[in-house]
Amino acid sequence: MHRVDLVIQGRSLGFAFEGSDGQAILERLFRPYVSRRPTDREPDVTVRSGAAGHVVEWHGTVEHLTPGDFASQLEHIATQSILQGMIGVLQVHGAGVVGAAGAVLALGDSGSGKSSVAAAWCVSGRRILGDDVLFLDSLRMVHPFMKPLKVDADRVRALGIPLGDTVLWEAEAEEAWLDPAEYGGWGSPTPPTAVVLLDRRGAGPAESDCRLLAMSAPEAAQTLVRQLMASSDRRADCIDTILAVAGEVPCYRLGFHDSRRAAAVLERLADEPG
Amino acid sequence: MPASPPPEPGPDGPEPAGPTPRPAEWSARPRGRDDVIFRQLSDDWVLFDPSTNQIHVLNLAAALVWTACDGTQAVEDIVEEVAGSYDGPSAREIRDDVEDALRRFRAEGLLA
Repeated sequence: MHRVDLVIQGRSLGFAFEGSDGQAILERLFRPYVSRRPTDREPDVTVRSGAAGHVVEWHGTVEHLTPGDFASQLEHIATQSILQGMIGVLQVHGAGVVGAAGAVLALGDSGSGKSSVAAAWCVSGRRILGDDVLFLDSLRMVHPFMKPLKVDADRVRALGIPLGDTVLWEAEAEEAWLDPAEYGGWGSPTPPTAVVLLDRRGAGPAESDCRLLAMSAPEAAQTLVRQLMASSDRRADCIDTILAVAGEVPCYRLGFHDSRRAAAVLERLADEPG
Repeated sequence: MPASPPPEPGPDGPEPAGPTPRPAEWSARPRGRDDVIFRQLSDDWVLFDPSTNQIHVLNLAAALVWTACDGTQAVEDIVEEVAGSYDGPSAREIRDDVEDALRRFRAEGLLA
C-alpha cells in the first residue's frame, strides 16, 4: 500500500493505494496539501486497483470506478473527502481572481464557465483562488482551494497551451489540468471586492456579451446560498457571513460567450476599487 | 409605511373584495420556526430558511409581524403591536398587512 496524507484547513486525510499510480496522481493534483509526515492511523480512503478496475472504500461505502478518467474520479473523491466535515468556513462553487482592489468571486453551476474563465486568468498571469471551490471565512476573507484547474482539452488548446505543458492530461476524459502555480500563482486570502454570477451562453449577439448587470442584495444573498456546496457549513454564523458579503459587496450577473473577454472584465473589477 | 404585498390569488382566482373569512388558526398564537434566521440586509429584512435554502424578503410590516410571532401573542395582539409602530394607516389596513404576512409565513412553512 502506498500512503498519501493531505492536510487542509487543519484537517488531515489519509489515502492508501494498492496496484495503481493513484498516489502519484493525488500528489500532482493536491501538491500544496501533501503532508511530508504521513500518519500511521487507518486511511480515510482506500483505493485498490486491478485488471477489473478500481475499488474505492471511503466513508463506509464501497464504490467501483468506471475504467478511464481515473484521475477525475479520484480527484472528485478526494475533494469530497476534504470538504466533508470542514467546519467554520463556507464552501462556495466558484472561481476567484485577485487584483489590486480585492478578490472577484465568479460563481456558477457546473458548465457556467468558471474553469474556462480561470484558465484565461492563468494565461494572463493573474493570481487566482481556484476554479471550482472557494472558502469564505467568518472574517469575509476568500481562501483559495489550491487544486489545479480541470479544463476541457479543446479550451486548453484554444488558449494556446500545449497539452503536454499541463500538470495532467487525461485523454479518456478529454480534460487537462492546469496548475496556476506554473502561471501567475495562487492568491492569498483576500477580501471580496465583487461577486459575479457567471452565465456562459451559446452563440448570441455580440452587443449582449460581457455586460455586468447589478443584483440587489437579497438576490445576491440568494445566489450565494444557491452556490454553497452541499457539504458546506450552514450554521447561522455562516449565513451571517453570506448576508454581510451580499450587503456590502457589489454583485452582478455576467452573460458571456467568450471566456477570455469575460476573464478580462472580471480582472478589471478586481483591480478597480468600488 | 411601505406598500403592502398584493394579496395572493387563491386557487380559483383573485380573492373577492370585502372581509375574508378567517380560518380558525387566526385565533392561535403564531410562532416562527426556531431555525429560521431573521436579519436586516441593506434596506431590506430577510428570513433564511435553512431547510429549503430559501431567502425570503420582507417589507417593514412583515418584518414587524415576524418579530411578534413569538408564540405568546394572538393575532389581535400582533395587530396591536404592529399598529403601535406605525402612524397613518387605518386599523383595517394594518390588520390586512398582518394577515397577509401570516398567510405568507404559513404558506412558506416558516411557522412552527
